[in-house]
Order: sequence, then C-alpha cells, then structure tokens
Amino acid sequence: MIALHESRTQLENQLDQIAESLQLDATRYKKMNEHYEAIKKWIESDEKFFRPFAYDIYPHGSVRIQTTVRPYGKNEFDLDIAVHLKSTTAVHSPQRIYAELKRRLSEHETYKAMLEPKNRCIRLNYAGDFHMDILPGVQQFVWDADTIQVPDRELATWVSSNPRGYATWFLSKANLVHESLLERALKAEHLPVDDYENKKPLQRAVQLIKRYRDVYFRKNDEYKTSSIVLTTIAGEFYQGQDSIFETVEAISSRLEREVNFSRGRIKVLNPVNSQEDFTDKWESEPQYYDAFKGFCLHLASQWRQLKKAEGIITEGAVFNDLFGSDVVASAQRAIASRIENARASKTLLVDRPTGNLRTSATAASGLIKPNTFYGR
Amino acid sequence: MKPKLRSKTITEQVSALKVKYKQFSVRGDRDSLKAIGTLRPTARSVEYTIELKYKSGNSPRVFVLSPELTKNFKGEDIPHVYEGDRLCLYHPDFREFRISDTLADTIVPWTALWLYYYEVWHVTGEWLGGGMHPPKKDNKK
Repeated sequence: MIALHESRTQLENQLDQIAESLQLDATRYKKMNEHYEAIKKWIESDEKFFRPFAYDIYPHGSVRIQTTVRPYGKNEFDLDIAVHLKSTTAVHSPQRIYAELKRRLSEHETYKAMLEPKNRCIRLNYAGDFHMDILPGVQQFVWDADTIQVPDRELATWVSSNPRGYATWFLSKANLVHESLLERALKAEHLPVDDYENKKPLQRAVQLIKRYRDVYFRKNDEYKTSSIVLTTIAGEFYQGQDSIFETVEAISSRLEREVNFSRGRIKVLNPVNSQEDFTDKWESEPQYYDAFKGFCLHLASQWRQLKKAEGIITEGAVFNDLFGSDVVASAQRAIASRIENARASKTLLVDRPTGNLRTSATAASGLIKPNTFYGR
Repeated sequence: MKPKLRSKTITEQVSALKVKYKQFSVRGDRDSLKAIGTLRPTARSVEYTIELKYKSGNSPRVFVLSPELTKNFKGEDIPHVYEGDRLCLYHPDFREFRISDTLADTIVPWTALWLYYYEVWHVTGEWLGGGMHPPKKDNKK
C-alpha cells in the first residue's frame, strides 16, 4: 500500500513501516525459532532431572507479545524463554532448579560455549544475532497455571513471576480494537490484509515508544526507562484507538499530564501482580524518575509537532529525531519501492485536482506515463 | 506507414490544462503558453506552486515558485534539475515527451512525481526515483 492521498492513512502507513523496519526480519525470526525448538528438545530429553516432571517451555517477553525492537546501534535481539515445571516448589530448592538447568545446557558442546549465568536466568549468546534468556521456574499454585516461582541467585530465594499472565493481559489490551485504520485502508484498496504482518496499533505503538526511548537515552543510558515499564504504561493507558498515531498520542499526552500534575511520582504496578511495583527503584534513586519525566515531556511535544502536519520535510526531521534516520530512511525506501513498482507496471496515477500520487483510479485521476528523470 | 505525429496546438494545450487542472491559471498566445498552479504530491506534503512555460516546438520548462527548493540536510545540491533549478522531467532522447502529447498528461504528472522524490530525498538523502545523468562533458550551462 502506498496511501499517499489520505493524510491520516499516509501517516499511519509511515509509522507502521518504521516499526516494521525495527523488528526481526522473517529470515532471522525463523532462525531464532529453530534455535528455540532445538533448545526445547535438548532440555526435554534430559534423563537426569527434567524428564520426569511435567512442564511447559514457552517464549515470554516481547517476542510473545510481538513488540520486539532491534537494540539501538546493535543488531542483537532478545528472546525470553520460560521453563515452567508444573510440580510445586516444595520438592525443589531455588538453587537446585537453576543448577540443573545450567548442568543440562553445559552438557551440550555448543551451548556450553555460549552460556552466561545471570541472576535469574541463563543466557545463551548467539553472537551478533540474538541472545536467549532461559528462565527456570516452578508453578506456584496448583489452581493458577501461569504464576511461577523463579530462583533469584543473589537473594537465594524464590521470586514470584507471571510472564505468561502478563502476555495474556497485554494481548487482551491490544485486541481492544476490532479493525485498525490500516486494515480498513487495505480492504478499501482490495489488498489482502495478511500481506501485512498485521500488528495491532498498541503493539506498533510499543515498538515505536521503545525505539524512541533507545534514541533518547543513546548518549547516557544510566537512567534509561525499562521496556517493561513502558509496555505496561502503554497497555494501561490504551483505550482501543484504531491507529498507531492516536495510540501514541493518547499515551504520551496522558503521561505528560500525569508527570506534570501527580503528587509524588507515578507508580507502574505489575498488572498481574499488584504487589509488584516495576518502578520501586524510582523511590530510592529519583534520577530514574527525573529521566523518565524528561523523556515523557519530549515525546509529547514531538508528537504534537507531527499533528501539525507541516509537510513531509518538516515531518521527516521529527521522525529522524524520534526514531533515528536509518530506520526512517528504510521505511521511506519501502514505500518508494512500491511507487517504483506501480510506475513500472504503469498503474501509478495522479489525482489532478490535488497532485496526489495514488494507485486506485478516480474520475479525476490520470495514469502517469513512463519518464526518465534527467539532468545533474 | 505510420502517420506523422501531429503537433498539438497551443489552443489544445491550454484547453487540456484548463479542463484537467482546474487549480491552474493558464494563459496562451499564438505560439506559447504559461501555466501557474498548485500541486501536492502526497496528502501530507506542503502545497507547491509551479510554473510551466511552453513555446511550440521547444521543450517545456517547469519551475517551482514556492516554497523555494533547497539543498538537503547533507548540504547536497538538488538532483535532476537544469540550470536555474528548472526540473528535468524526462530524457530528451527517449521520445517520452512528443509534440503530439498534451502537457496535462505528461509534464504535469511528472512534476508531481518529481516533487514526491524531492521530498523523499530531503528525508533520506537519496533520490529514489531513478533517472539518468548527462555525461559530465555535455553538462553545458
């Protein structure tokens, strides 16, 4: 879709393309999936410890909720995996589960060399590509299929976690919208909707906000706001808007009000465990909150700038500032290459009263004949 | 045998422009015309005012009157223009514009297309509309 003759759709298509160019491409997604399947099989075939237990292995985090973003200036994605034992914690110690997972992974020649122990998970580094954080956990209650307890090595104790429940919560928010602006526009042009990866406005908005966070904190990331905080805020503030633009607008303007007018700091609680405040360190280290405030105010003001629609060149500069010129350029190239295809197949039209380029004919449009730009 | 192309008269050119681009003001005399009007290559673009001058038998000349064309953020010169920032819309040797064509169906749509790529060039630093450049030695001013 080129969508250049309707202002709202044009902006939306642009934002969608920017988000698209931030995520894992299909080839690497497939590769990551294969690695994931291989690891899963390797753990499942462990005779010494894991085999006798009933358990699930599943991705969680941004891959599960489809909000992945390539790290700024780097090329490595994260994949978070949970190994979820369905027995109860009574029969295990936190150290034991962690040690067994580490032992099993170390028995594999390849994994052994890539292994990096973290506080709660074990990381496998696929250099230059991505890393997999494998989180071992034991189901906390028989009646709650999602809450697990995970070992915290520093605290030497269990910590409650609910990564699958969180994903369910987020996706239910993302699905508040029935049909997005882009889906409608695609249908109107008789283009297949599944041509798009078809992400919901909330998922796209989270990708863009995370990317903007990476750009904003690129020079000093000491007090960078975490992805879980941003994702949770986005989910909480989302009201089912049908466009990416309006989703970010709603989130950023509400954030601006909250940080300007709320007494004390705002809190971001875990939506599936209100005992947990994702921002508890903002209390002891207020610099985090100050950085977050600056970030929110800048986002809100840039987004208002986009709303003024002062032309492609001005808008492009705002996009470059928000998301980095490389991703903006690659989004532009994607759209321009569709224009080139339409030109090559002689289906590109101009709407005469406005001069807008378009690919669907109207009474006032005419085909653009082939031409070759010349000159210096 | 192919019939020889019949050149469009100025009257025909003026009337095609007036009918198809109602936002243009078009004036013609015996062997030349001048049209001034607005184009917006995309819905979110600014409105460009362009001027098209044509003298029978010569190449049409197109200029952007406003907003003024500028170098991009890299400080690069505007691509695909002749001297005086006249737009280079087609290759003179490829018979893309022929005397039998109306300006309304060739030059004006190409101008909208040129403006689109001009904007993209400003945002990305790349001209994505293809085209050719004259050999350096022939690039006479």
